[in-house]
Amino acid sequence: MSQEILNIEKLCVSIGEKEILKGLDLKIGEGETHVIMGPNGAGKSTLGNTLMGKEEYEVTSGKVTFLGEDLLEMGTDERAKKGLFMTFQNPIEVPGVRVSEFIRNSCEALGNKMSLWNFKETALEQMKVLNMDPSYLDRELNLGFSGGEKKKAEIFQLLMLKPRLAILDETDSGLDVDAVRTVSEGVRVYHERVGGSLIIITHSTKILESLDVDRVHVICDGRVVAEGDRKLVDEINANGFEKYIKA
Amino acid sequence: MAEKIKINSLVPPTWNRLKVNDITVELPLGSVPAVSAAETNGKEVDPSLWQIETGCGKELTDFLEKNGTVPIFIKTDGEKLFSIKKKYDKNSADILCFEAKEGETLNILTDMTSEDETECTAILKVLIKAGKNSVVNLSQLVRPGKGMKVVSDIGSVAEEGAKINMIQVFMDGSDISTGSRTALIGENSVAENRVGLVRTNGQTLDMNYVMKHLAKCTVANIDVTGALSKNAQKIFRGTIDFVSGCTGSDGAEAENMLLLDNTIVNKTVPLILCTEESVAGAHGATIGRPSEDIVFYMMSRGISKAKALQILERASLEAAANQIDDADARDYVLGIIAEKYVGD
Amino acid sequence: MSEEKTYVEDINRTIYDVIDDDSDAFKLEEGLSEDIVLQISKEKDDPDWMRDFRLKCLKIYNELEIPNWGPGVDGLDMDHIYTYVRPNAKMSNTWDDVPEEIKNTFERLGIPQAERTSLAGVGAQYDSELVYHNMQKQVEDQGVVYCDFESAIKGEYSEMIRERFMKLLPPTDHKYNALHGAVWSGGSFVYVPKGVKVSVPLQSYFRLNAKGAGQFEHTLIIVEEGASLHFIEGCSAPKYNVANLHSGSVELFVAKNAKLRYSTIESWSKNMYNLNSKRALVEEGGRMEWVSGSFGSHVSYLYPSTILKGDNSSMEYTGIAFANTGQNLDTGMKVMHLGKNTSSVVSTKSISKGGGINTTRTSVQVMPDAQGAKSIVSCESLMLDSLSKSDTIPVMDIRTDDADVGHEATIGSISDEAVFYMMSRGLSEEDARALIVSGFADNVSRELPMEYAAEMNNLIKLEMKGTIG
Repeated sequence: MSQEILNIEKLCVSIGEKEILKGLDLKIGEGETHVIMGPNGAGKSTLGNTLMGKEEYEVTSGKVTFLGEDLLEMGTDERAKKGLFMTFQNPIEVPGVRVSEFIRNSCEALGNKMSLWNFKETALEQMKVLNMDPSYLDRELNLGFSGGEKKKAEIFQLLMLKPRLAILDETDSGLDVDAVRTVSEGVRVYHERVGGSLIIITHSTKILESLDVDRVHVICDGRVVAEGDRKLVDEINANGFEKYIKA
Repeated sequence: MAEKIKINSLVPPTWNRLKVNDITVELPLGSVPAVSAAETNGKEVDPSLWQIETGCGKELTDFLEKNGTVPIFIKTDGEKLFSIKKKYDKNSADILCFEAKEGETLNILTDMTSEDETECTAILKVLIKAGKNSVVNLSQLVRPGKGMKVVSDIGSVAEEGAKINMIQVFMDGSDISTGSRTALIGENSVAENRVGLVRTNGQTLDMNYVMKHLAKCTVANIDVTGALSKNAQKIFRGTIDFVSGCTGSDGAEAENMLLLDNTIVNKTVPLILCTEESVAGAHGATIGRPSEDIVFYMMSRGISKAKALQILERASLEAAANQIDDADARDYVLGIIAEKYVGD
Repeated sequence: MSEEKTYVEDINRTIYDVIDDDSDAFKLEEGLSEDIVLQISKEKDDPDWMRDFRLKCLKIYNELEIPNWGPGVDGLDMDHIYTYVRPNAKMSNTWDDVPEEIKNTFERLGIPQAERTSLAGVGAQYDSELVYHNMQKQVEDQGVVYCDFESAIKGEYSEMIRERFMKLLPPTDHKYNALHGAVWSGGSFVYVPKGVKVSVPLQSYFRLNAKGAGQFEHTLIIVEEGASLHFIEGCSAPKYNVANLHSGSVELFVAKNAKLRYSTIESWSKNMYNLNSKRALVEEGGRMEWVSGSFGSHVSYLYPSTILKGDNSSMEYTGIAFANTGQNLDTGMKVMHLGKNTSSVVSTKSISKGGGINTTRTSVQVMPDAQGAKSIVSCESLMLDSLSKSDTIPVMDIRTDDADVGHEATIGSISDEAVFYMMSRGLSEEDARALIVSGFADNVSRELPMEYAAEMNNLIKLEMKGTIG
């Protein structure tokens, strides 16, 4: 295994009274691509939101180390600055805030201060990868975006912010074939150019077609119940999660 | 002897020249009760009920005290509809108090009317205390004859989980002033004010509705629909007041007024007051003549324009009446509306 | 270049807060009396009619009551307000002749720089008098007049002014209008002749430096048939621990098919009582546009009003008010539809924080002859905490069936979801909230020229500082 970037040990997470993650373990190495699969309600999105530090997700026990530091001690913005990124399944609409203005603020927060000219040039280059219209930069953040536009917009931010570890939370769900291909190309470009690690939470295999998958984890009822290589994806697609769900 | 008092005050007030800050009414002293204690199982009123603030406000309360009007407590028979149907023939003033105990449901209907030739003033004040998880459905039908002035005042308090549904239907007749104030003092309490109104021939309607959100997760709705024609005048004041601490509360007011000719005065004053961060308040108003499309559609089916406008007028009354929960009360009000419009 | 708008690096209130030494300025004694009014009249060498008018206004002032609605003005004691403070400077049309200290103040506020890059003319008032007034030659050659009010009243346009002066805003309207009529000083007169379109904005900047002083400038703009103009007004003052008073008066005349845009960015210091009056009269086919950002002052009463007199005339109002600790801002607008097929589109936003109080007060009147009138009013309030207060008080008075009137009001807070989303991209909570608030104010900033939008966003960031913890 290459150098470890993320280490999750016996993570337990509750929302309110309800325990969702029940002792989850996961290790991610530098530059690796991991796939997380699991039935609805298994805790996949909870894992992403917990790593990103969302308030309602209460860590009751366990440890998470990111780049050698205690992730759980950091605020959400600190985690982002350290190099953690998550795509949102349904990113929130923020009226009045321009996409360009937001991303430029983000880039600067992450230590990549750019002149307006530089920013525009970089942005347009990344947008080309995703077949996005340049006018998108002047639109209000996620406002009135279609499902596909929202997902693309998240991948665009991935390309702009160049994180060390990106969690893609069902980025391919609800997209048509062409859109999945575009998003997948975006992820490939990120992986190739930035060399960051990926945690891909997904139901389908389409997004994985152009990616080398290092490891697949199956989550059921808040724990990792099976691990394997790429073949595990096909196996699950053929047989479902039934055999992993405890009676 | 009569006294001039100011009622329906807007709090806080706005520009005086708009003449919406309050209304002055002249009310006769010596008004007698129209409802006798005997017919209502009346008994002494719990003083806390008597203290409930109302929409018309303190000057009316003081006037009634000076007039010697005594509040009477009404004990209803479970969920069974309690009706007070009065044809007024002299200056009258009543204060009726209702209390719904924990988990109870009350259905109340009042109907105020008079013969056209009768000259009188009718004042009706209703005080309601809705206990924990109780439901109070108050429906008021007001259809004064040409010579009757009406003041209808309501004050209510909703405790935890209580629900107060108030429906008022104001039909053609003479001048009406009405106010209602609901204090949502218990968590998750809900209040609805629905109003259907028709004013014509120089009649006025002066309304003041106040919803005070005093506890967490309270919900209030004010919904006014109506039609104005022939020198009619209407003022709608609606106040949604989010008091600090009423986290998670939701208040909305909506108004839909049809203006049927060029002689009317339609004033709308929908306040939202807020000292709490986590609340949702909204107001929406649509004011104007009926859509050309609807009128044209009806005319294409052979209905005259005058008749088409009448259908729309009736619909604005029925929009409110249809919301009455109790079937008997609803049928009664819808029946009277139907009677009114069938003859014409 | 729109992304430049809210991308502001350094936030600094000190540009507004520097106090100049006023020891060599000429001041009339504090308070208000017939004697003081006569002295002002003499200082200004008023024509007789103006002197008489001032005295009439003083009489009306003494007869009128302070408003029985709106925020209290208890902290304002007219016996301790200097109504007239003349800087030790003559009005000039070159910055080189403006005294160093005063010039530095305007430099800090960015006025001469803006004049070079994006304005057709500038007037700069310092306390009670203008210290600078200048307009580009090519605009002057088109016949446009832009000058200080005192010169205008004695010059070529004196009759035109006399016919209109305080006719739209008569002294009987309210107490502070009467006060204005009695002690007014400074301000600008603008005349745009028929058919002339002034493509670059004119700006007047009002700086109140003297402690305990009042500023009472009068602005009168006439835009003739088919002409158009964008006028920008800026104002600021350093903070003192005594009350200062601003009671300006703005009268706007928009002729047939003419267009006027009036933009204001107001950042008075938080000891200021801003009791301001603005009114526009719009003739047939004319258009009035208001853009208004209110950030400063301790107490504000501000409701630009529009009379849509001519058929097919229209107005648009876009405004934002930010009330922070110790501020009570009562703002809004009024419109009266008199002509047929007139239209008004109104969008107000308010932000309340740290115990600040916002009241959004609006009035839409549609008179019986205004058939075909359309009016849309939208009021949005953002509450940043539960210490603050935000009231919306709209009145609609509709007297014709042939009107289409809509109104919507909403109140809300910053969503935690939005803050989390932005923080997950590396923004601090403070920056995320500031950015969301800037976005909320976007309706105003996008209506402003770039430099002013940047200044406004700067003010928002300034007010948002220290929101967390």
